[in-house]
Amino acid sequence: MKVNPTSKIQYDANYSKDNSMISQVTSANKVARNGVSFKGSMSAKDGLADIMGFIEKKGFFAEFLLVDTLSMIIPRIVIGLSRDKEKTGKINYKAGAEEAGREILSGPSMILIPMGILEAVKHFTPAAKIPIGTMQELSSAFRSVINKTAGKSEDLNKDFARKLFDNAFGPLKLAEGQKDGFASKFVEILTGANSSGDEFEKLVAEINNKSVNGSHLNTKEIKLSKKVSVSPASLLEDFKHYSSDIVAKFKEQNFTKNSIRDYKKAAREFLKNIQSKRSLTRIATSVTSFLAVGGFLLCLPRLYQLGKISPAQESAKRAKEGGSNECK
Amino acid sequence: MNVNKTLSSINNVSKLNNENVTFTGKTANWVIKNTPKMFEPERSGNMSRNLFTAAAFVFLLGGRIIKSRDKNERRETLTRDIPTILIAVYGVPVFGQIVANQIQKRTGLSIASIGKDAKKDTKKNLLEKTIDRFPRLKEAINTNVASGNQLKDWYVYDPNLHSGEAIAGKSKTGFDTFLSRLSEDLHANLKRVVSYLNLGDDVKGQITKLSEDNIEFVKQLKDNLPLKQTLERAFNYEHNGALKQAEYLKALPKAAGFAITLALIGIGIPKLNIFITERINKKNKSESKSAASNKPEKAKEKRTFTSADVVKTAKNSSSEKSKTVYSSFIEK
Repeated sequence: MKVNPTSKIQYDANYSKDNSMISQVTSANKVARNGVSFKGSMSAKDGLADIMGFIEKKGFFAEFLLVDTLSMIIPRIVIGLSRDKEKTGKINYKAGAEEAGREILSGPSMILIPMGILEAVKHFTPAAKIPIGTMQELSSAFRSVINKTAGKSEDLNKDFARKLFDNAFGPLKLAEGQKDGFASKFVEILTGANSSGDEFEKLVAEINNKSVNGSHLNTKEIKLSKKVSVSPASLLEDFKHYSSDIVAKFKEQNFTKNSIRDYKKAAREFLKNIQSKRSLTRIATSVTSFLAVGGFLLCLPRLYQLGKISPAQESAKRAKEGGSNECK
Repeated sequence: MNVNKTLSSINNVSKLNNENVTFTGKTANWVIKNTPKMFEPERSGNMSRNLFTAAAFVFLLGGRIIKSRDKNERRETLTRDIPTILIAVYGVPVFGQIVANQIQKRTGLSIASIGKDAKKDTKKNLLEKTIDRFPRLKEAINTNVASGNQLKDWYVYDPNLHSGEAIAGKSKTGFDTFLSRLSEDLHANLKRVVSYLNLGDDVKGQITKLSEDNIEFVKQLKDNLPLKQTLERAFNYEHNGALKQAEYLKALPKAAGFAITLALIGIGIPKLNIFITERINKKNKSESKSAASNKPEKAKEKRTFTSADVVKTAKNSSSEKSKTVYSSFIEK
């Protein structure tokens, strides 16, 4: 990235005088980039930062799996395998297998079942994957486009994307001429088939940084309204779902065009209904996930129980036969 | 007239239909508006943490309590599983926030933003009002650890960053905005932040002479333009040392959250369970002992002593007098 000095003449004068400082920075950065370091602790620090960063990206899924695996699955399997080992002299594979079945199936299933259900629902109604707050903002923007264009839009998706840009970045103070350039790039990325999240993120950061009153604490943030903020990658995904579902269905409709007023009324009614349906689908998905997880947990014992007698009862039986009062 | 009647009935039916549509829309809106936020899934499709906890309590814990064979097993299930579920779900973020708050204060590098208290007192629930009584805990819970992207914004200088004065052609640059964001918005210590940059020894030597106070630091930097431009360039680098250090410090609260959670679930809760069981057993033992000692004495049988008893006693006794009594009985 090129550094923009305040005064070129001043910068050149200082640069030539203190070239040594700049070269020190450059060589130090080279060392950092190549990762050459005689301090072994640096790689451990980087490793820790990378691992925690990975867990953070994956969210609650990775976090809970790790806690569940280390604190419940592994210890309980070990305890199961070593049950009554001092009496029988053998590893108790049956008890270990039952513990493994119970612990491995119960914890991860509480996360995987809801994810599977939402993916299945998304296959039929993509817009059900959009959070309710974002859905309301997207629908509000789309409604404005419908009211403005009244069925005469050449490309609904582009008009919709432009409206989103105006809502998010309209209040920002940018230098003259920059706003339109940013808007067209924003629309191009949002409506493009193969747009990448990184490219969109860079654009949003540039817009926020160049504005005088942008969000400087979190430049990679798009404020759709006072209450709703999304990341660029999330907005890209939500826009794709919204346009492939709701906008596509809107285009298929044949609203009466007796008058503009009738058209707008019919179009608004359609949008209101489909938005409500998608939001209700989202809530219903969550409730279904809750009940599906519950049903699975209740049926789980049939999957992992390998015999009629539980390992605890077998252990008690052994203790009785062995004449010991110990009960495990 | 028949046509008019037909037309009016059609109008009535269409009105009814419209009203039905409105009623359905109102119901749907009511459901969407009033459904608790916990029922909204996360982006990845996971249940929210609160709903996940509810599912664990209802199905996991509920099932175990119903199937428990005696009251001891029920008690153990409650004392073991309730804290395990809560700590497994909330432990990592909550402990992480507390640790992040302390790391930020002690190191002078910002890795989190402290959320402001937006709710009015009248709208707070009981838990929130309780937390308000402990300002340090409240601050720790309101600590929002920055994401990886946010840290890059805070520690990597983007030349696009302009202040309003720079746009107007005045002297303040985007780098001033960058530094003021670090010092005023994020409360970082500028000298400590700058000390982590990839700089040569000469430059580091100059930095050690600068003030620890942020306002003084900025003033001194303003008077040393070459140093300021050097720092601008150093911050411009995508993998600068300050960012690396911040990323490492940001990883520590998460790691600490995991460590504390695993320690509590693996060691703390089983020990608590054993402790409670022993206390209850001890209490039961002492109760049964005191019950045994307070038992009333058995009523003695009423016995009538006859002459046969006298003779028996006399016969068995060793005293001379008793022998005389016994022999007199025998004579009789």
